[in-house]
Amino acid sequence: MSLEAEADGGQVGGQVSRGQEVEPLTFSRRERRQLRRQLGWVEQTLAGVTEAIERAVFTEEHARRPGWLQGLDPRIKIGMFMVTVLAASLSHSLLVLLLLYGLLLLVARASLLPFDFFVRRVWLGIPFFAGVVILPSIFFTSGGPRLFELDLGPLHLGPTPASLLGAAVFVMRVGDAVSLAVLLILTTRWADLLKSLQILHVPQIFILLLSMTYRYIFLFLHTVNGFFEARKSRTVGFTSGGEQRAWIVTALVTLMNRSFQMSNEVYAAMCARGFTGTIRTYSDYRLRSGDVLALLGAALLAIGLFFLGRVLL
Amino acid sequence: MHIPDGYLSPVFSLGSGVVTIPAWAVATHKVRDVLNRRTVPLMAIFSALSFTIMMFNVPVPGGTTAHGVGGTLIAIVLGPWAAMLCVSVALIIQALFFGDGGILAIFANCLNMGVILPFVGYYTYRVIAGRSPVLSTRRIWAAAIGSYVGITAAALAVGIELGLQPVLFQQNGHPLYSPYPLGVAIPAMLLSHAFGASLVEALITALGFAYIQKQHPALLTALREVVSGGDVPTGEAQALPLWRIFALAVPLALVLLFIAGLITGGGRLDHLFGADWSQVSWPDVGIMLLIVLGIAVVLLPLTWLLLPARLKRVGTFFMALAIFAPLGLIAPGFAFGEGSPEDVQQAFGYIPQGLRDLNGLWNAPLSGYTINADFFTAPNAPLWHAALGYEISGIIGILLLVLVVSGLMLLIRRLTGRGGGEAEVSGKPAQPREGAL
Amino acid sequence: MSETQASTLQPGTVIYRLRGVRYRYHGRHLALDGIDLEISHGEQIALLGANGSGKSTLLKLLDGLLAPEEGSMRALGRDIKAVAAGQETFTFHRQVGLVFQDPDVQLFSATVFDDVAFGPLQLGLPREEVKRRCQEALELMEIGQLADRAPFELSGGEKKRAAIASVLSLQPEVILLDEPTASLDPRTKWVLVNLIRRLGEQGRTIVTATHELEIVPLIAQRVIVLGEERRILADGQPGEILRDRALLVRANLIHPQLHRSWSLTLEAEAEPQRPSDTAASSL
Repeated sequence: MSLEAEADGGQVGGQVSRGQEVEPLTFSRRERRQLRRQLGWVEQTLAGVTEAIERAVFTEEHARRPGWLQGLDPRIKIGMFMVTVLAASLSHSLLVLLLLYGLLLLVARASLLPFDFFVRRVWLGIPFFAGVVILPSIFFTSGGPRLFELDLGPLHLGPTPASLLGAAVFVMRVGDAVSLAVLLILTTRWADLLKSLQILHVPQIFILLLSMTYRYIFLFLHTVNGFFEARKSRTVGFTSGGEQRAWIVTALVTLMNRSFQMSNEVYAAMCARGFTGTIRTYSDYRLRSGDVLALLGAALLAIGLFFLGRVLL
Repeated sequence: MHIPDGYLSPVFSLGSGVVTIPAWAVATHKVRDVLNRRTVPLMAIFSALSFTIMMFNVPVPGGTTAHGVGGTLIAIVLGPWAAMLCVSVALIIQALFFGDGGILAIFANCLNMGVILPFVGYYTYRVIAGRSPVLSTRRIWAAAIGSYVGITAAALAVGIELGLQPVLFQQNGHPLYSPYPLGVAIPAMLLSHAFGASLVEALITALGFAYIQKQHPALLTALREVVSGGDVPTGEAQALPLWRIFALAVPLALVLLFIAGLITGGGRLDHLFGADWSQVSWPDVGIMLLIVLGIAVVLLPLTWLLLPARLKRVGTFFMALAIFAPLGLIAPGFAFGEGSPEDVQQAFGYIPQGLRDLNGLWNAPLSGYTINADFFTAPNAPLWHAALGYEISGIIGILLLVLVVSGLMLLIRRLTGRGGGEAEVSGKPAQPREGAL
Repeated sequence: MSETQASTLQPGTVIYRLRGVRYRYHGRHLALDGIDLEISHGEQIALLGANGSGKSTLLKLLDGLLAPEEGSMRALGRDIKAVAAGQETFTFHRQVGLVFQDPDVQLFSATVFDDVAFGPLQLGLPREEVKRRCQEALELMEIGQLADRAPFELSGGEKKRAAIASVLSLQPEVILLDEPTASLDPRTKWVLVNLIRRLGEQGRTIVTATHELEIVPLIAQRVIVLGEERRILADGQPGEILRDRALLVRANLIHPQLHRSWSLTLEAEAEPQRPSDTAASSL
């Protein structure tokens, strides 16, 4: 692989001089396409960065909507999430998992989440990971009569009812777990989510660390966005793979160097406001009866699902 | 490498917290001792950096992109304990916010990428770097090899964790979570990383380290100055002779392969990589090797000479692949999948039998192509006749496969409209035409 | 001693006394070279200087974040070296607040409210008091509606206001501002100018580092010019300093080719506009 790599890089590199001699306007179609391919990784990173920023803004928007889950205390929501995701993970019954998914759809509706987004975000990801991973296990199975058989030389492949059911349970369980996480994340503002981690006895220093990290991720993402946009706007000729990687590394180390300076400044800013190493945070959550009822409901649901799964099997 | 929820039993994923949580506690303690009140801002910003590194798409030779973790690079700059906190925090945010990796699986993911990766990477780096000056070339190699070993070790850990699931959690013989046994999960994770993601990580780390050496050498000592108040001798750049690099890297690679083989073979020497090597008839292997080498000596220079300049290296590489690939058939069958030992012995018992079966596999998709001459297939012909037959069929089979795949890719590219106009002839599609001869 | 001083800072008492202060970054890059300076409580000072003349460093010294390498420096009755070394920082930062040049450095929490509450919480104030102070500071900066926003959702001007609010919630008697109006739109700039004047009228000491000459007569009665050789070039009334064309050119504050008709600001100084905004004046 690396051999091929070198060759590819060298080959493109050989065209650098040619690309620079030619006027940009007279690029042939072939060269233009090559140019587009060259910018592919820039576009990819830019797309990733933009998506991350957009998703953050999107989340904040939905967390402010007047839905059912949004109105609950974040600590309660963490509790509800934990019991339900445990019940889903311990469940081995397809029926129970489907039932739970139906309930989740209802909850998403009640929390004013866009329906298609909720379904799409979960199921577009799962086939690609859980589905692809599980696919071979459906065919390479031992025991039991096969539904149909493929013969490839010495290999005999084919699904059995048991392997199909197992795969369905696996995919459905991953789907339920991801849906639960999406529900929690989309209806809780990040700051609230972090502060409520206290009920899980996460130390304060860790919570402050998480919240500051999250905050500076966006600063870095904006910086990286700037790097890559500048790079994109300046790329007029062909560049070699080696040059591209060298540029990435330069950007990366520049970021690392800036990180050092930044951390010193932030530390000074914290000291300037009286930071002495002890961490104090402000949270203003009050439990209402609705919150407690919701948690009780979730706990009962989890227990119910657990025993229903046992009965059905 | 981010394990999502549902792959691991919740008992297992929460259970891995038994290792991860104390590790975090120790790390927080260690880092606080050193940095005192600076801990939070410094860690927060480097966690954000780690997160950002995971977002960088790096153009990988071959036209695709990949991204690294950067754990070893951060460990070299900040020390392994601090790197552990940084990568863990980045992973937690990925899980909680971007749904990358499961929430229950946070402990397991942090164990693999947050604990194992920086520690293995850092100490490999330290062992190789030894007492060499900070600016020496040896340290670049140390950083590259360290990060390679670190991320591969993390992949191995993922493989072990996934592979333990069907052993530990099953019902009526059906696995409840990730269904692949150790013998499949470990090689899958190990191989896909050893020849892919790990190389990218090593490349990024080496380039990053070299750049830091040149532009910001203070980063390599700054923290230590903060810690100890002492000065670290920087020294001058020294080139490491090539032979020493190979002398270092080759045994290391062999040792790693051997360890991986031992693990997959269940610890028995005659079952390396899960194959029963006692079944192999070694004289036949010798003849086979000779034949392959003979073909290589003739065909490879020929390919090199015949191919146009821009395809020389790629084309010859693929030709070499085609020639040497049938050598893999020597292996008496990997005990992948479910088959009982008897099945394996029967199917891949000794070379001719195994080769015959696989020959059928090559033939299956291409019905018009067979080598049915008596010279190759006569029941009492010398073994090397048969080997020669398989070698030829193997080469043609691989070349045809490449042709089919590249044709399909061309078709897809045209269908998606990106191919348009003239066919984009890069290394791969053109190569088989030249190589088929 | 310091506790009593906190409440009895009399207008006119000397709160800063710097004698021959030198500072170098990493022991190499010279940032300040022999500064002699006295500041009395209740003064509004503009600190003028080109990029890299050491304005930010001087402000960090005044805030007790750095200690001078050479020379002596006393601040609010304390030796600044002790403050920078971590003694009495708590009480010192109750009285002195610094607004950093880069608001991204100052806004390190998940929401604007958390940032504004960070200082008062560190002081160990009761929760009700924290909440009240935060609301006051947010309203004064006219960003009450942004309280639960994340910093990445804010524009540049909003970030600047949030950063100032996070210092105001500490209700310091000495406020140090590092380039508060740099790269802001005129309206936001005007809001800040008004705020600085109002805070000054309440008897606080305000030191504003800037290189924007047009706001100087509006916010200061005293101007200190830092030269490019990192020393104090001049110290005097805004009127006399801003008229001294040669001085301003020497300090790289105006350029002969760019500022041919430099006199604009002085009209504003002749008849200062009264702040007309109606923000709360409780601070």
